[in-house]
Amino acid sequence: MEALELELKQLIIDTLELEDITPDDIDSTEPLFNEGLGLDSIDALELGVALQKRYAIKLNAEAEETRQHFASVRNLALLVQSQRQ
Amino acid sequence: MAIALAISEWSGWQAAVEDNHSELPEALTVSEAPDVAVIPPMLRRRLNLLGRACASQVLRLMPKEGNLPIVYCSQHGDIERTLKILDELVAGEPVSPMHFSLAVHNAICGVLSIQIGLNANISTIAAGQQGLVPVLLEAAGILQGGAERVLCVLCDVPLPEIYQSPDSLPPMPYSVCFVVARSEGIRLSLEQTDRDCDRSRADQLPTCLMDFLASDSTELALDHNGLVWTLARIND
Repeated sequence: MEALELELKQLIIDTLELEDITPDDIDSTEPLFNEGLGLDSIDALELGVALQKRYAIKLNAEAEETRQHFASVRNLALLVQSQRQ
Repeated sequence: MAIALAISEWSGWQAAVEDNHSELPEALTVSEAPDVAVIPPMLRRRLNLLGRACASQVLRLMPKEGNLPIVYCSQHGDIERTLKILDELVAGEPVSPMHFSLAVHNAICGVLSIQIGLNANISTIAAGQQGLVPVLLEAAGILQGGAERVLCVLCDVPLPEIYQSPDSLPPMPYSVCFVVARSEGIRLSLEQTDRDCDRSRADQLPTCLMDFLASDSTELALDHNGLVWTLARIND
């Protein structure tokens, strides 16, 4: 699980072109959007495309559960893990 | 009909290239990368080289308390992002929402307006290689509409390799920024002439304005869409 979280942090950094940020700077449980890492709505869409490309995960942008999946790196890791099983 | 206007401040950036030994105007910064350190990283990442070239000069000339309308002009715009979108479509991959949202012609000014807190008018133009004439005309129109000053910026980066031809311009990334005012600064007259276009001006870039402003020349000839316009100093 820790390895997957690290992988996702690196995916976020590379995909969203986060300058001067390393995986160590991202807390797995902190919010990704707004007050936490500070990502915005375009980042959410971009991240959705990245998850589709890397893990073949398709998300409904309007669904409430998508908000839950995108809440933190840990939640994203749980989503990827559940899709693998 | 001649249009009277003035240019009060100007500034530019150009990428350093090894074989450039020509004399450059003092207001032109030559460096490897434009300085945009003042923009926070989370916003800065939205700007690639073209956006940074533009931002570095706009942020220099935009007054702190000011909310000047902007006229932005680029021949090719953010063509690297557009090309990436086309590559993704050809490969049958999902298109990057970030590239899609930032590929539009006014996206760079949109990002800048967030940084500056700008709510003044922004005009964006794509007007061929020599955008100075349409930019000055647009600025003159905005002055007529009541604005005291207008901040103008022209910028481009070399075309991606797939679009390159031997005569494609610009040879290096650049940006030029200046403030057009009604009478404060160097007073100028812009006029269309019936002269023939001059082939020796074929590779003229908007940076020629900075050479002109820094020189003793009385007139700058600008070819645009087969017409020749002159920008002449008005002597008191």
